[in-house]
Amino acid sequence: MKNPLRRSARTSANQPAKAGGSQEDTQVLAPIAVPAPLNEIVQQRRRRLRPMDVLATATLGPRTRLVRASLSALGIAIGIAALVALQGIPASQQAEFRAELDRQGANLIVVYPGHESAEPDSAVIPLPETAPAMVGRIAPVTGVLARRDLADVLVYRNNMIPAGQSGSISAAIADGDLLGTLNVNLAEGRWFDAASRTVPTAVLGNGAAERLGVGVGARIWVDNRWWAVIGVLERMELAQEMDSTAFLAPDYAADLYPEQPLASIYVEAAHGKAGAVRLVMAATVNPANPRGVEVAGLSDYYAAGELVDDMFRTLSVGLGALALLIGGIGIANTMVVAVMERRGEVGLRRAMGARTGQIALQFVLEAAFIGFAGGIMGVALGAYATFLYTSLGDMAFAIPWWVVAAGPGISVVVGVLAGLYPSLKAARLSPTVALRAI
Amino acid sequence: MRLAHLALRQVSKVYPTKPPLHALRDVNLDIERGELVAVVGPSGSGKTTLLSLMGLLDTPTAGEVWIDGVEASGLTEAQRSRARSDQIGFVFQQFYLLSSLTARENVATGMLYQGLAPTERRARADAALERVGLAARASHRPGELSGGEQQRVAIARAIAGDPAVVFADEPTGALDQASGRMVVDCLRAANQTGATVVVITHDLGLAELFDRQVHVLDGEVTG
Repeated sequence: MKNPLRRSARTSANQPAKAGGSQEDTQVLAPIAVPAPLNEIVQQRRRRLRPMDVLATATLGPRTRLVRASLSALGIAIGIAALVALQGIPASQQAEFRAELDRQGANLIVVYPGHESAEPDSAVIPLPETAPAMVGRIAPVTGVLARRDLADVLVYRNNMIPAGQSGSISAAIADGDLLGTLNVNLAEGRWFDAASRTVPTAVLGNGAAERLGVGVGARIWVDNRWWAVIGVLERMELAQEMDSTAFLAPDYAADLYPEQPLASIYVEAAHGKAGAVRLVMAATVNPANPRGVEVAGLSDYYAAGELVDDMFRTLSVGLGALALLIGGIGIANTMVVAVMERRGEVGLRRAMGARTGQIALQFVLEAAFIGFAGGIMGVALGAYATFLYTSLGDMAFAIPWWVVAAGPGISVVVGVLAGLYPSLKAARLSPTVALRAI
Repeated sequence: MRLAHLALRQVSKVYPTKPPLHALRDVNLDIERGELVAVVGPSGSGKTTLLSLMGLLDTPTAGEVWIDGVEASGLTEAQRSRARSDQIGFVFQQFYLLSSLTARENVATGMLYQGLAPTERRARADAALERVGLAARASHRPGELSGGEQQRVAIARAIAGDPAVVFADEPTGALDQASGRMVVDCLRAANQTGATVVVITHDLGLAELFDRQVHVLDGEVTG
């Protein structure tokens, strides 16, 4: 069915019309579509705005009032920046702390023989001889070192030293990759090779070498025989019992002192895997009696570090949430003022056919947009603050990825929540009241 | 029963103020398709209320408002919105142009809720601006236009979507005489293309420029 109005529009298309007095002839447009009477129009399906139109409409306010929108976004930006910086700074500190611990061998786990019961003088349960090989098969384990203590063997600088002045230097047999497992270098000399393992040679811990006052090329007096010092280790801050030890050539010493029990096993775990490796250690070392194994770790330092970080992180989330709340109130305030100021626009849009939901969506998205912009600004500001802090402290720069990802997301949620009430208020405005407001 | 394009039957509007404000009382009015009508009356006589009811911006307290054979009280809010977007154009005394948009964008915004593609909206906006003699000012923002030009942009926005009826509320109220005259010419041109045009004014001299005058006084149509 054709609309008589549109027919009349077309039939008058060739008539010149007066527009603006002396203006040129007017041009009549073709009808938009097949004209429909009102009773057909109102039965049509609900129309949706195109996504680009929704976006353009929602960003119109901030684009028009850029300074105000920026100041509102700044509130959110400060909140997100606080969150990012307060996550990033401890993360950087932790990265630095871990790097330092790793440098000193803190991803180490040390296994000792356990006791029959909790009583300190109860019988010791020896570590099984198969333990080092079994431990080496744990996937994240990157190094294993078995240590056998020679308890009654004393170490002297030479054969002139009185028996009582051994300097508390222990003698031990270290079988395995000591340098790799303990992440230590030689201060001088070399570690045992296939040849030196079988002759009376020794490698000294740094402390032992210092106390004995000897270096590579010297000889030491151990259990009534001379041993040639072929290497001296660097200092090990976190494994001091190794530092004051004289390591004797493994094969030669094993022949001299057969069937020495395992005193300890040093296990190096891959970075960040020390905790997981510790969990399976006792059962791997002694599957028959896991309770008879004592597992300690220099990696305990990690836990201490993480505890401090957790406290810092909790505090930072609290501060960040507070800043976000204040930012959210800023957005809500801006949106309330925007709705009041733009009642005329709301009325006009309603007159042009906008539904209440479309008006609400426009203002909610506008608030979300301000929030999102604030979130991006906040992540950048927070990252920059963290960068400055770490640069000044000569630390590694690290920000958890989730903070970068969540920052804009959180700020959009804050924006939406803050914009909800003003948006509903705008949508509920009667068109006549809105148009009368100006 | 044959109904006029716009038909009001025993329409009353009471605003719930204290005491209640009777803006319209038992109004009966017929406006035929293609008419050019001035609704004239002093301030507070109920002219704007009449426009709001005929333009589906508001609902009457009593009576029936018929537009194009459809009784408005039977429509949902969404249907009324759709009717406004497709069938009705509005021109207001304050223009209500969006200051950050150009004249072309302002006119195109008028068709936003009609569901037209952006390219078609732009083309129709350009054509409408040409109809009101402002093709050369399409890229100007409202702040760069005179009052009369701004009102002509508002008229272009109202007619660009090819509405069946255009309501203009005091369209010359904020303009000087020469600009007002040009605005009237634009409304007359819109009427000549087939639209029913209803102009609200308190200015008897202006009302006489239109084909028919409807007088309103104290909420009643007096002639």
